[in-house]
Amino acid sequence: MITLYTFTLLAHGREATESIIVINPVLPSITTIADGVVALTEIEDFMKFRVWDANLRGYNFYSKRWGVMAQLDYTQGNFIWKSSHIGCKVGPRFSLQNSGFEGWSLSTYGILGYTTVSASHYPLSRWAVYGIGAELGRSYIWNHFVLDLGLGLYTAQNAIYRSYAEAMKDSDSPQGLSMVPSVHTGIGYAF
Amino acid sequence: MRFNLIVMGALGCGSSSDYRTCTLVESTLSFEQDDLLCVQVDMHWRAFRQLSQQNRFGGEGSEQLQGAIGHILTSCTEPFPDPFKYHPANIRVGELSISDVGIRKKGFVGSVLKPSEERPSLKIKADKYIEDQLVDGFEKVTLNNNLTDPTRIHTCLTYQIFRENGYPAPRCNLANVMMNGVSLGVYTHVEDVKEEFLQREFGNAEGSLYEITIVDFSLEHLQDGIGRWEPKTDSTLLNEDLLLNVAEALLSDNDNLESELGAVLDIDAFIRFWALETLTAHADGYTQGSNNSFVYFDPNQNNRAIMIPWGPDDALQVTDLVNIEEEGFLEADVFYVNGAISRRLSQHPELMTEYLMELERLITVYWNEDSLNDTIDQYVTLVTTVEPQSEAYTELISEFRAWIDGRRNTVESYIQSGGVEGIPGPMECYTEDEMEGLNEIGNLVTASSHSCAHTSNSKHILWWISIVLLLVHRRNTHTL
Repeated sequence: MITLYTFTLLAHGREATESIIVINPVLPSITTIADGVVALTEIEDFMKFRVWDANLRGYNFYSKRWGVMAQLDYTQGNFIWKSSHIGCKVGPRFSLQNSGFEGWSLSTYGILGYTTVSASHYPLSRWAVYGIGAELGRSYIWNHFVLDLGLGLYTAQNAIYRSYAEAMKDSDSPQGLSMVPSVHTGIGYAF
Repeated sequence: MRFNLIVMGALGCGSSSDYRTCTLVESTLSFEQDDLLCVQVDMHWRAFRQLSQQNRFGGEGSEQLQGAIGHILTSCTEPFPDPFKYHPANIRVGELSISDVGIRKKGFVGSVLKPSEERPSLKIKADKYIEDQLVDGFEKVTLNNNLTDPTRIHTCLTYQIFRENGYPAPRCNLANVMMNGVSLGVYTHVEDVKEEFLQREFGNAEGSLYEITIVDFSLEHLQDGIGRWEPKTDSTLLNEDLLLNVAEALLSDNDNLESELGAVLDIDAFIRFWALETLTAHADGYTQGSNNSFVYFDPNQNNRAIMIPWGPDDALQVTDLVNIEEEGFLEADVFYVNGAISRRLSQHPELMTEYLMELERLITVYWNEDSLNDTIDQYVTLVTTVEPQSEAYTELISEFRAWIDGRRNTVESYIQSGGVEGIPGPMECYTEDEMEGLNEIGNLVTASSHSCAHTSNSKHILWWISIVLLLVHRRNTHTL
């Protein structure tokens, strides 16, 4: 918290920067405190629940008013069975202060992804994910160093469900995600 | 199929370097309870490493549970993989010294997890490389690593309880197993359920013997022939006829059940088996888990089926016979009415009464806490001659004794409640509603991937509050 406060004091308006890439290094941490996972750790001695995530977000600004945001994600969770999701978010980002990347912004985006569930080398099910979301952001640049914060909401639906396990031959895709909050804490580089 | 995975909290205790070696004495390959066998195995270290690292479902030891579940969910009838290969070794037991036996790893899930790479369960086949060679009269020697039983006692004591009640069960004692001069710790030496066992218990060995590993007497399990049923002797029928007879008899209505089922199954023996699995809390056995048992079709009884217990390493410790208030992912109520036969019999009022009466007889006439605790003491003495007694071990034994002491109340309360009926209707491989949660982990990971997971967790809320407060604070600072 103190670090973030210090950053905000240091930051001042700069000229719009065209291209930025950021990663969200705390996403795996957020993931591991996710609902349900905490309960699962009670049996951690027997089997680990491990989640890891790789993500990369890029911005390209075409004017001080707006730019485009694109993010790639890969997340894998291992419990008794393994699930992985590869997905992307793409959409426009509008500066609320007419200041390009820096300052307050509002992003809207579409989500497209693919989730698989397997147990060891046995595939169990897979489905596509699509959705939309929005994020209120606040970004800072010091020289080329970028701090990119955001809070938002998104919703996603599942489609093109396919199950491989006999146990799930009559099953439907799981229910989608309705209005899930998102937290973005990215650090990165401005070109 | 209902998921009944009983998770053991503590796996293994100590490492091989802590264990004391043994010296060969003038003993043979006995099953005397008082004997702690000294089994010395010598084999090339590279072969031992290959043997140890073999896993049933491929991958690492830690993936075995995933593999088993994947296999079970993927197919109802596909036999489980059996990848364990024999390696040559020499063994010494007492005065016996046998060269060129075959030795391989054994186990399903619990005994092939990661720690088994240092301490594998072993199957020794005397005549693998030399025809007709025997080890003290036995073709095979089974040494279980007790990975899921840190007390090392549960298996032998459970079999002992079956046998003391006149029920056919393998003989069993403990063994200090040494590999190339290093002790691997206390193993359980279990009699193989094969021709010798059948001859002793039933007076014949020509009937059909099948091993039950997560399979049951149901039409679904037998839809592709014998499927996952594993024939165990040369004279065992390789078709599903005998098994189907039982599965079809279970579909009889209550008026005809005794006559139809009684023609293909020794119902009295099954009720005793059911009561003994209940008494010993063998929750990973047939009546609760459709697992860990054999069925023998005895020619002396017109090929009627009789069950034989197997793999009770987590018996005598399970919380059962009560409703669990909040069933967790790996927890389920344990009432021993999940196996197709116990499930069907529990719906027949007279047979259910017979079962409860047998259970009452066992707890009233047989169950003797002092005697059982004395037996535990004897086993503890043997175990601690090899594995130094730690505080953790002492605590485990205290919990074990407490379980023995509390068993009478648990069983009597259950009998007074009138028992629990199994799910009505034909047995199916999978119950749809129990599979609903399977994809939820996928949803969780999907949610996590897009920046945040489900947010009812309080820690998450703290994240939100911190960030919002910061932003509000900044806004106020600018305004001022």
